[in-house]
Order: sequence, then structure tokens, then C-alpha cells
Amino acid sequence: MHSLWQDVRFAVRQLAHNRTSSLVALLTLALGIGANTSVLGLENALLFKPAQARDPHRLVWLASHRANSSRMSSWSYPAYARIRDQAKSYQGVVAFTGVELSMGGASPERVRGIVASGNYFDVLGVPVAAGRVFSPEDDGAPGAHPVAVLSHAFWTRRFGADSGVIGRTITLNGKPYTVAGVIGRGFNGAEVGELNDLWIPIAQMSALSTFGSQPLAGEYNNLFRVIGRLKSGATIEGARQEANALGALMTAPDARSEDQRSLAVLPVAGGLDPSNRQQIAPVLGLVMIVPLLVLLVACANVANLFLGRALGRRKELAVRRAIGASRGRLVRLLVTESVVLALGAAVAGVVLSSWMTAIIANIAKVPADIVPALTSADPRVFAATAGLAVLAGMLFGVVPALVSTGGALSPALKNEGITVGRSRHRLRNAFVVAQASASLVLLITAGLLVRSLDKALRVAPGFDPDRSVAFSFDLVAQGYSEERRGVFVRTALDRTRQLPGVADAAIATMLPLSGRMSATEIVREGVTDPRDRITVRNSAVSDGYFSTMKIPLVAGRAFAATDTKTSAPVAIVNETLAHALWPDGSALGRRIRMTGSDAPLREIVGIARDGKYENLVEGPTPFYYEPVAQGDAGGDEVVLIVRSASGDGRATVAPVTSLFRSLDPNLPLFKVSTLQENLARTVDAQRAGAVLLAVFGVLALGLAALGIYGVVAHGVTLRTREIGIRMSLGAQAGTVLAGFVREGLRLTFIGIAIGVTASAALSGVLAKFMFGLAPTDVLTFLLGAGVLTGAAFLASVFPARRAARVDPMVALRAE
Amino acid sequence: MISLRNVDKSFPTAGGQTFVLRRITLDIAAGEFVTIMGPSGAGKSTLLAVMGMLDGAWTGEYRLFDHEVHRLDNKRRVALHKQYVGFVFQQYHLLDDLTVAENLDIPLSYRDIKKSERQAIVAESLDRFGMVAKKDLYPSQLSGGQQQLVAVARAVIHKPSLLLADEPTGNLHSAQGREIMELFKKLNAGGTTIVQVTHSEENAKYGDRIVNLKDGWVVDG
Repeated sequence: MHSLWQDVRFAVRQLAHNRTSSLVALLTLALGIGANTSVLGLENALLFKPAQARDPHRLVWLASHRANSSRMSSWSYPAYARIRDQAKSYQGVVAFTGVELSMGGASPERVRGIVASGNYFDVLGVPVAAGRVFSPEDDGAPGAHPVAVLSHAFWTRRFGADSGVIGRTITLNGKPYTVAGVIGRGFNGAEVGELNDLWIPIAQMSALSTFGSQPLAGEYNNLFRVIGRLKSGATIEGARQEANALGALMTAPDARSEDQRSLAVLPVAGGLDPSNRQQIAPVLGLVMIVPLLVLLVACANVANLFLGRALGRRKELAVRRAIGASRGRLVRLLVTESVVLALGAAVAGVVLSSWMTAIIANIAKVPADIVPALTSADPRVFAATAGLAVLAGMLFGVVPALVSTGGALSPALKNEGITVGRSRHRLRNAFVVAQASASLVLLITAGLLVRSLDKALRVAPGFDPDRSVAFSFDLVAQGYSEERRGVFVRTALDRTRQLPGVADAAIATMLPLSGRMSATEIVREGVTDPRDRITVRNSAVSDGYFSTMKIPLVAGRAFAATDTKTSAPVAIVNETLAHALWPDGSALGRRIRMTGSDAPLREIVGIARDGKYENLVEGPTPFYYEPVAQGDAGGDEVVLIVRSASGDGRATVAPVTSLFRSLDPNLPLFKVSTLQENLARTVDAQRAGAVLLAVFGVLALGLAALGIYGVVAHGVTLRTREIGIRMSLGAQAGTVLAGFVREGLRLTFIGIAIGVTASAALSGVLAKFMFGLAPTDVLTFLLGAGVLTGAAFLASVFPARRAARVDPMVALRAE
Repeated sequence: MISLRNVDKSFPTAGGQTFVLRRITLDIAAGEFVTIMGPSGAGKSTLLAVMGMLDGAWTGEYRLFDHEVHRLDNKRRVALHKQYVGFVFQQYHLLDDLTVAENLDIPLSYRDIKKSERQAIVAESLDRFGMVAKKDLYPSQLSGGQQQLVAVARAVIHKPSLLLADEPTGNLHSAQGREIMELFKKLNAGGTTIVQVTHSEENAKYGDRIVNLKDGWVVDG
């Protein structure tokens, strides 16, 4: 042990002695390790970090697992009640679900809430900052005890952390609630990414009107996620056995076979519920490959640096062997140096990673409040980073150590054989080839994603997003009756159109490419066979919608203000739906209806041009419009679209807000954004992926260029005498320069061949992320190879110029 | 103690094998102080490297005490080297990044001697060689003579039976050289067998006998 400590001390001294090269190696590795720490931090937060609760290891998700489906899902309240009452493995079982609420007051706003069972805080073990949390007593009869518990962040933002708010009344969805307390800082629900503002008891659900009149009744009203706290001494295994035994209880008594459910018991680890975890975990696995490739490139670089350094220390190593060191001991000494350096790089990498994470989060548009959850110090991430650093240290340290401690001692002691042998040259070259190929894989992948994104952004969305702003509001949450909703919408629309600077305005229940879309089924008049139903995306829109959105009508007319409840029911379909309904003739004038017994037959009065509805890369999608005035202008969210006469449309935000305030001072407007912003948001994930890969690709390219520079420069140093001789014999500077550049490019071309092959092999994985581009797109491959060749050329030309400027007499005298 | 029989060492060249040592047959008894002399390229240092087991690519027979070195694998030769041999080089070959005390300590640590024991041995050695005041200096802060003194101290700190010295005074001026040779004499008197390679007739006089090499052959001794 002591000798190991001695090695560590010597390693530190040796690294300090070669300060410059150690610093270069440390920074190189820190970039590689930092990239990994960033992604590890993200993966830890999403998959492994325990919940911010008391004894988090005893908390388990009790997920609903449907027969014939691999997806985990939620439970109805009756099913939750059966689990809570029958399962004996748990100290307590909680149910909760998310809800968007309208908060009234001087500045009304949309808030994010959790509706939770009365035992929620007690079972999860959440600290209280002020007042009290709610208890099972607050969760008794429906509508009783209207209390709310605020999150620390919301309390601070909205109420300036004023403890006087306890006991005060706030308005949620038009109803009064008493603020019971504020929970401790940090807790924001069981999932990462949740930004909950407040919690209310399940007993208040029916009063919210968002969930319908009887949200707690019905076996198929699967609204609730469920978490249990294992009793002291109970194990997950035991709970699973019990869950299997309880299997039959989990299913509704009258369930069809496809609705058979079982209870899955899963640890609460990471900030994802079982359903999201299932979807995201494989993607996160793929994401991890990217920084690992960067680290590989960094390791190859440092391995070359260490190889050069170790060869320069051959005499010292030979002396050590001559005074009794075994080869194993020397290898340990050298590997200790590389591991010490890597651990230093890990510390620097952790610092770098917090910046990298902030940059990535910024690119990925992660809400600022969530970033701390992704970047907060966690022993798991530190341990993984340290483990990675030790592995990296061994990876780049062992080979140089083995190479430099082999061979005969006598020549090394006499400082002979200092020129590098052919095999060592090969090894250095192999490192460079590995770097070039790994960085090319990243460059090509980044190139493919960037070009794919570019193609997606060039797709015509089917409407004109310029000069338009969308405002959402929720009249149902505000307690408006159906009739009042209709009147409000009509008034708001008419008065908006009269505002100065407004060119046009319309209402829609669903806005294309806004991240929110509904679906329904349509049938032709007279059709009874369920197989002839067509699943469509749909929206109820007002008059002026098509002109405001600038969606062309290819036939018929748009909705008019006269299309009301008292007029004949009408509909507009897009080209794809028209063709799907009547492939051989025009749909205009024909009649369709939504499935469902009370849906009226509607005459198709117009055919709209196809557009994009959920994302820019979707194929032709059938779409169905009906007049908002002929249905219910309700739903949980209605959108007002305002097109300005000029500018980007933001100038209308203030007057529209002011108008709505005058119509209903308690009605919050939310999701206020331009249609261009909505459009950009639809490719956020692709953009984040492309930028992430581009950043890491450029990083790897820089490191690979550094590696090529190092090898060519080393070659120039070793061959200075030879160059002197050649030049004294008449070699031209250009010939010498070309020779070294050729060497750098030769290695790069081998790397390109391997990188292209590897990228082609990865095409299957990439195919699902591509749009309008083959994952083996020749142009992208050529661009990637071209960029790498250019970088390699520059990296070779600088040391080669030094070779071309060698003064033969000086070179020969020096030798 | 040392018995070499028909030891050859050669390396392949374009024209065939080039020999560095030819049929070396030599006996050295325990307690002797032997000097190897000869012109440059005669194979003196190579012979010393073979005896010290720093060079393994040779043929013939070599016995060190009761060990048949020619039959041993590299690992056991390393072990034998550790046990019996100390080496002094013309260029001192001190480890530049270690202090005088650490340079003395390092052969002991390679022999897995406990730290407390090592500290005592190093302290005793520093005292014996008169270097206590210099124990925290680095080699670059010492004169050539002082460096060679440290190198000798390092070579003998683990009490080797055999001290091999390759041109130990080659880089020293005459007064420093004499000091080192006196030290060798003292070590030899204490029972250490010494084999030195030198060009110096004066240094050779400190030894019991001279072995002359020429073109890889023993020509005298």
C-alpha cells in the first residue's frame, strides 16, 4: 500500500515536472470526461436518482400493466382504492395526477397542480416549510376542505415567500381554496421535469370541472399514478409476489380480456414514471455512446502524448529496472501517473460538465427551474465519473507503459535506441487512425441530423406562421357554462378584430404544430361497418380561421359567422381526408359524421389544402374541421390566433391581454407565443440532438486534429537529422513538406475508411431519426470526410513547414 | 562466485551475425576486485551487463553462486539481480525528480522492504556516505562527484554481494575519481565483490586483477 502511495507521489511530481504537456493532456481528458459527466448527470436524474423524499429506497411505483401491452399506465380511482385496501406490503399507498388550473386574482395565471390523495405528503415524507400539508381528513367528502399546499418555488415567486399567505384564500378554477401550507424547498413532485406550483386533495377533483363531474367513479377513468411505501421489513420481491396474488383484483369486474390488468412493482428511482422510463431509457442508452466516442478520441490523444513522454523516459525507466524494479512495478508507476492525471481531469471535467449541461439544457430548451435537478451534485455521478476516469487512465496509460518498459536495458541506459521503433510508430499511428475514425462517425452523424433538421424546417407547414400570435385560455376551468362560453368566444373574437394593428383573428380548439392535438373517428353517411371508420385529427374553428392561418381552400367555402347552432351542420376536410372518404369523386356536398350516437351528419362545404398538424415530418394526415359555433367552444383549452398587419405579431400581445382582462379579470391567458415559435418548438428534440452531436463532433474533430499534429510534429523532431541530410543532398523544401503532409493524410484516409464503414453500419440505428434523408446520404458522408481531411491537412502542414525550414547544417550539428 | 563458460553475444546484421562477445570464459571468486579493460567496442560494458543480468540475449553458461543463470527465465533472473547485484554507471543515472534520500530509498522499495526499516537504512547510508546535509537536494543541485557518490550509495544500499561499475569515474575529475575508488576499496574490504570497467590504468590498480578484452574476446586475465 505504501509503495502505491509512493507511486502516487512520484506521479504527481512527474506530472508537475512536465507541466505543459500534463496540462494539455488534462484539458483534453477533461473535455472528454466532462462530456460524459454531463450526460451521466442527465441519465442519473432521469433513471437513478432517488426521489426527494424520506427513505426513498422504500418507495415503489405501482404501475398498471395491461394484458397484450408492454406499456405501463395509470389506474382508475376504484382500482387505486383496491390496491390501497388489499395490499399488505405497504405502509401507505398514494394516488395523484397532474392538472392545469386557472388561478385568479390581480394577475391571473395558469398554474400546474397535483391532485393527490390525503396521505400523499405523509407517505412520501415531504418536509414542510410553513403551515401544514393536507391530511386524509382533508380528503373526505367531495368538495369538503378546499385547501391547497404551495410549492416553495411558487410561494417565493408569486407571494414573495410571505408566510402571511397561510390561511389566505386563493381562487382556483373560480373556486376559493385556503392555503394550508408550503412544502420544503427542493421537492417538486416525484418526477424530474415537473414544475408543480401547488397540491390539492383528490376530494376537490369534481369541483375543478376539468375532469368531468365524476372523476373518481368508473373503472376506466385511468387518471391516477400510484406510489406505495414499503412497510419496514417488506421487500420489493415480496411486494411483487403479493401483486401477482392480487392480480385478479386489479381488473375491473366487467373488464374485457384486452383490459385485463396486472400490478407492476418498480422502484422509484430517477425522475421518470414507469411509462416514460420505458420510452426514454433506450434513447438515453444511445445518447451515452456520443460522449463515450469523444472520450475515446481524447484517450487516444493522451495515449499518444504519454507514449511520446514514456519513450523520452526510457533511460529513467531502464535505471529503475537496473536498480531492481520489476517491469510490473514500472508499468504500475506509469499507469498510476495516467490514472492520477485522469482523476485530475475528472475534477476539471465535473466543473466543465456543469457548463456543458447548462449549454445543452439551453439548446434543448429545458426550463431553467429544472436545470438544477440535472446538474446538482450527486455521489452517484461523481462515483461514475471517477470510475470512468480510472478506466480512461488505464486505457491510455497501459499501452504506452508496456511499450516503454519493454526491450533491452543496456541500450536504453546508454541512451541508444532512442529513435522510435517501427512497432511504436505503428502504435502511434493506430491511435491517430482510431481518433480520425471515431470523430468521423460523430461528424457524419451530426451532419445527417443537421441536414435532416434543415430539410424538416424547409417543409411547408400548410399555413403561414408569420406575423401571428396564439393565446390560450380555458373557460371550463373558469366555470363558464356552455352557453356563456359561446358568447364569450364570439365577443372576444369580434372585439379582437377591432383592435388596431390586427389584420385578422380566429378561434380554434386545436392549433396545428402547437404540441397539442386531438383525434376522432369519421364515417361517411350511411356507413355502418366499423372497419370504414377513418381516424382523423380534428379541430373546431371559427369563421376567419382559414384566412387568418392562410390555409388555402382547394374547393368550396370557408366557415362563416352564419354557421351557427341554428344553421345546417357543416364541415371542412383536408385533401387527404377527402380522398380517403371518396377516392373516386369529390367530397364537396357529401355528408359525414363523427362516430357516436348523437353526432349530427355534416355537409362538407370546403376542402382545405393538406398541412402538418403534429410535427413537420409526418406523412399526409387526414384532418377534419367543424365550426366552433356549432359545437362546444369548450374543451380545456381554446386558442385565439391573431394575425398582425405588420411586424412579428408581438405588438398585439398587450392590447389582446388588456381586452381579455376587461372581458374577465380572472381569466388567465397562457401559452402566448408566435406561430413561428410554435413551429420552431416542434423540432426542439431534433435540434437538441443535432446540436449536441455537432458540438461533440467538432470537439472530437479538434482533438483528432491535435492528435495528427502531435504525430507529424513528433515525426519531424525524430527525423530532423534525416531531413538535414536530405536537404544537404539537394531535397527541395516542398518535397519535404509534401512528405510529412502525405503521412498525416495517409493516416486520416485510413481513419476515414474505417469511419465511413462504421457510420454505414450505424445507419440502421439512425434511420428512425432521419427525415427526407437516407442515413447513408452520400453528400453528408463526403462532407464529413472533407471536413476531416481539411482539418488533418492543416494539422499536418504546420509541423511539416517546420521540417521544410530545417537548416541542414544546424540539424546535422545538433545530432 | 561468477563462472562464465563460452558466453557469446551477437546480433544479426545484413552481412550475418556480428559478435560482441566471443566464447567468454571467466571465473571471479567472492571478495575479488576485478577490472575489465580494453579498447572501445571491445565488449566490456556488454560483459558487465551480462554479469548483472541486464542483458538476456546471450548464449553459453553463467553460474552465479549456485544459480545456473543460463537456465533461468527472465523473471527469476530479475529476482537474482535484485538479490545479489548493485550497479554503478558512468553517467550516474540518478532519478532527476527524486531527492538524494528518495534515490537511496527507491531500490529498497523495489525490494518490498517496510517503510520504517527503509527509513533506518537510508539514514544509516546517508550518514555513512557523509550526505546527511544533502538528503533533500535533487541530483541537479549536486556536483558530478557528489552525484556519483549517491549512485554508489544507492548501488550498495541493499547490501549486494556483487557491485558492477561501468566507468564509474569516467565523468569525474581525478580527485573525485580517487575518492570513489577509495570507497570501492573500502567496500571490497568489507566483503563486496567488485567488477569494474575502466579505461584508467590508475583506477585499475585498485583492483586485484585485470581482464583484458579485445573485439569481444578475452585476451588476457
